[in-house]
Amino acid sequence: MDSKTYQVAQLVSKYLQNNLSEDEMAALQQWLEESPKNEEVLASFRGRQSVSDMEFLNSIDVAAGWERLTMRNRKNRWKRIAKVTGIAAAIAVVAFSWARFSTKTTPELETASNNRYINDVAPGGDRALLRLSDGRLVDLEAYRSGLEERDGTQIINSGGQVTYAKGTTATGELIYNTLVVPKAGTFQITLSDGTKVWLNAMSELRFPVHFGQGSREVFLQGEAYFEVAHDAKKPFHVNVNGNKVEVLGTHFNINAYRDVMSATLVEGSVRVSNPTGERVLAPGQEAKVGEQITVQPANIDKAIAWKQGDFYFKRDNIDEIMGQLSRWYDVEVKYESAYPANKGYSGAIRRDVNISQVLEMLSYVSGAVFTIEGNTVTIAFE
Amino acid sequence: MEDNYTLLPEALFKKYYPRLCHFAWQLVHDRDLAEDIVQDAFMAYLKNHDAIVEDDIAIKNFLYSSVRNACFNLSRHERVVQRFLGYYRPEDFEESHVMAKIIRSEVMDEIHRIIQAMPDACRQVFRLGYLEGLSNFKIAEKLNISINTVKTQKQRGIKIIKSKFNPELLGLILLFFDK
Repeated sequence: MDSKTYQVAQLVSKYLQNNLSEDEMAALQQWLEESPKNEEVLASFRGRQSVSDMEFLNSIDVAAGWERLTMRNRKNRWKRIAKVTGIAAAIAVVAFSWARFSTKTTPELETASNNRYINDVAPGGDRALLRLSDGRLVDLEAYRSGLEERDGTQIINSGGQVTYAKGTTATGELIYNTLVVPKAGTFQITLSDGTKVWLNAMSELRFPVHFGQGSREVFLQGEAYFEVAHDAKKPFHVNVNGNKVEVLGTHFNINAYRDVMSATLVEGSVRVSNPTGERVLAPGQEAKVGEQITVQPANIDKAIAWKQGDFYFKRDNIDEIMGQLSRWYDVEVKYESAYPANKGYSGAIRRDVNISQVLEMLSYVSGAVFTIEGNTVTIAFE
Repeated sequence: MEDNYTLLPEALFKKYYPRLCHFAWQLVHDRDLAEDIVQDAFMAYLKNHDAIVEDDIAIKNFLYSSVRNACFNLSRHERVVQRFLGYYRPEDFEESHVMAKIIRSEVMDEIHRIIQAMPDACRQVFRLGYLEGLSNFKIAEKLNISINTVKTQKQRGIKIIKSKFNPELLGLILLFFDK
């Protein structure tokens, strides 16, 4: 690339702004005549692509980028995600060897870091409560038999998942059930229309045991991944804190743990609306819904990592990461010092490991020191 | 070593970061990956900037080349993912294509900056009308103004843009308003 590229860019930019002098116009003309491809380059600014370009540039946070670069410069600890994963695997091996060769009475875990583990905390698992229409709350982990609703609907509970028998369209008043997934839990449910929903820890789904004539309405808190059964006549609506995600038949994730809900579309098409507006998502896009709705390219792997049994952190700040750990391991998180809220960390690790292994990874990338005591994880930054 | 960094030209970063991210994004089609690559390019610049002649073009050349090379040398895994998604096109890395993409990034960044610098009312219409995809009715509701006022604001916005931009570009700009 030579300086001519930038000169041409300058000419094109001025041309688009209607700001060319005669000499410059002649120079641009000369460039255009050099190759028919150059005509195409100029013409390309007219198309729809330019709108995506603008949206992309809008989404770049320069201040955050600068912050990240200076942090990274200061502490040369930053590692690319692949390396972190490698380290995590190595740590897993260390932890595994430790588990084999130590006795169960060992009071404290050995670590390669400054972290201190009085005890360890096992990962979450298939855990959920089902609230029936008469108000009864059934622990699906303990009570492994089938259930029946008052309209005769059969509910099959088969370890980690619950299935509602297919049935006819409900007439009259709908009967609602609620699946409640606690901290350290996850559960899958198949609704009566065949729609599958995976719920993450600390999430609730309220749904009718059979859908009525009109649209299929369900209500979500927390995080869930949906595979909606196609039925063009009955659009599927997920209601989240007064926002709505409307779908025909599609795969998508909704994360509404925080004030800003994000909806990530894997397949199909959805329309996201809040009281102020609505946007249609294309596969691979994600909508952030707060007071406004913004749409941006999504990191699908990250959005659905929890469903695949992984933690996947990509430039998440420590508070977001600890929020995920707190929900999955059912631990309290305490900060011993102020934490760098605008710093992001990346890494990936399986969700079925003990919490100490996740903390080792985090301590490696962040330099923070973690202590586990009982159900409390304490974090100290240097 | 550390002291050098406090002298770093933050302005240089702010000037070039968006367009370089855009350039990387044209090649790898993934925002996070693009930002990572540009971060690496700036890191490399910081390490070597004594050796780089401090003129604008030399710095730009260094940054654009680093980004292009990094995009080309993506890890095998990322390349497989790209191929899988149908994004990887070897011809993207031919010189004439790279040049066209640099021109695109340079120009888009400049237009973006101009739009950012527009009067608030005009930009609000731009944002609600295009980026948020709201209809005139919804904009009126949201801003608590009449539909006629929305229309007037849109016309005013278009007038400003017409005075600033070539009719050639109007197609693009009108896409922002044409909702």
